[in-house]
Amino acid sequence: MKKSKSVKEIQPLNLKKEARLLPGYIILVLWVLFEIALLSWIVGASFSTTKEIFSNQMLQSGLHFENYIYSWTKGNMGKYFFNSLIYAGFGVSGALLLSAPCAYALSRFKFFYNKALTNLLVLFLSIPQVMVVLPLYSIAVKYNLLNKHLTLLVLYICLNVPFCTFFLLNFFATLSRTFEEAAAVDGCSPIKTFFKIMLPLAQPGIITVGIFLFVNIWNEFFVAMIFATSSDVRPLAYGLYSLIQAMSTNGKWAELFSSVMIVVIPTFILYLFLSEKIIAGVTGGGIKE
Amino acid sequence: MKSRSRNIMIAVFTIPAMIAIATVFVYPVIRTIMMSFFTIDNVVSRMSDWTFAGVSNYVQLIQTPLFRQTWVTFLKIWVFGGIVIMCIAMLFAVILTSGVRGKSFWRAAIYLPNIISAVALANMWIHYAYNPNWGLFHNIFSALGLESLANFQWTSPDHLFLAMMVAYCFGAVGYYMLIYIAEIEKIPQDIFEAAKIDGSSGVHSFFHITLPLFRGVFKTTITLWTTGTLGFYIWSQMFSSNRDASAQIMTPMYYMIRTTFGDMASAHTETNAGLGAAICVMVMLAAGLAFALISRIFKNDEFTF
Repeated sequence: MKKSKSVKEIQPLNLKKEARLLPGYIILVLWVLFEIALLSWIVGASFSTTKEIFSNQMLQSGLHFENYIYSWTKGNMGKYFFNSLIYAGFGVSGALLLSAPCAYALSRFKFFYNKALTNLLVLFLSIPQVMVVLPLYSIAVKYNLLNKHLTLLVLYICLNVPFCTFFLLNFFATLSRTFEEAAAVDGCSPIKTFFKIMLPLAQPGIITVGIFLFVNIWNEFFVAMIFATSSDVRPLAYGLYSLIQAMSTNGKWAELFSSVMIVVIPTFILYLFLSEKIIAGVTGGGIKE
Repeated sequence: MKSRSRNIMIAVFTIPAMIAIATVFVYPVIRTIMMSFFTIDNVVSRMSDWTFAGVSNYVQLIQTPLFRQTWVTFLKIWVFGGIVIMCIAMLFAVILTSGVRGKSFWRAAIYLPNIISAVALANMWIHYAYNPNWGLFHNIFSALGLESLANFQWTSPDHLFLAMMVAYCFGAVGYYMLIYIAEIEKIPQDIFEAAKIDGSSGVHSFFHITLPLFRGVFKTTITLWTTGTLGFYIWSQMFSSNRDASAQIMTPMYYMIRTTFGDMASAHTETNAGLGAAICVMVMLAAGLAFALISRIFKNDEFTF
């Protein structure tokens, strides 16, 4: 990717072409400037005092890192942060562990429920999560599973299986069958072929969908709101929501904005390095043509 | 022997995923449909405690003005939000595929809001962009000398819906833009070159080549937008919290959650989880109806290159 960029820079400046594109540039610059203003204000506010924010004089008395310390400790954001890390990390691994073999079987073999399962996956891709929450909630209450890390983790894994499988199914379909044929000739069993040959070949697809899912679980709000009423198991996005309710009533605005930053920074850093992968996750899985 | 090991492998590979899907999708969907025909005191009541109620849950919902209003809100989001988002997303997709410099930077920047938690994003809009004293819009319009726009009360009850839609659309544009860019890049470039040689301008090419070839991807994006809007919920909650009941933006899903799990559940003397389930089924039916309509309208439109 970096190479193609440097090749582009070398292109001679064609003024006529650039002039034709000028209206496009103006729209892009305005849109992105607005976005930068929105984001950088939050950064500024998170390092200021509440008084400075309200008098529109941000950062007058230097950087107030204590906002972050307050959010992290007293605001429980540290606890929420590690909860989110557990859910996103293990959630992605679990979803991939279930989905990758299933996607491979669906893309490579003909069996009697192949088509039915594929159609079911597509159907569940288009069902909003709210549809399934009532019965799951009643199961969780009945077996005393509310407010357990494992419950949320299992939900995050299972709810993401359709997307993950569907994405990898399309990815495996693009890989050539000659690898498996060669392996079969050499006497390699199908299961061994999958783990030793196909899984490594599918790595780009697995990494793409993994990062995409990581960001989604990191920002997840809805399942957490229903199944994590206790602050011990709460992930970041829902934790932030409960903090906003508390901090905006007791006037701790600077601490509120530093809490926002604690949610945003990890995905932002991930995006800085891996935006191409995340973007590929959208167009690879979102289009069903 | 060979086919037996093959079958074992298929079973081992697919059954874990199928169990996962059965647990969190198949069983809940079936049970939700059943629940919608019963009167159920509490979401967690056992099936033996349910009382069969026929379609009375549905009738009761349709007779509730507040619930009918949630569907008007849904339609407003679907129509206005849909038009605005699709047009801007298409505009950006065309600009970014027209040969501008730094394409991958612009693309990443416009998609950026999608990777930020909706809670965090809504918070930036509500507490900064829309602030009447030192907010971003206030400052921009003041600098331009547009005092009446600068004093626009974004988060007053009258304008809250507009404020929410502007904030939501700003983020959603990037997602649909990515899909449109991928589709434009699939069109073979020689079509455009041939059109150019024949004297077609860029704008003319867009309306006579890109758009007709786009019917297939419109089908996809309208489907995605419809599912997204039916599940629309977090933004309503963010913009409605700490407000009077009359100012709240109620979508069907938000109504369901408030009446089944939230503050509105305790406000009622008798709760009925069957009503919540009936709302879920209505949303599923709406989705099914929309899919049927979409595939009828775009019957012959599948362009693959």
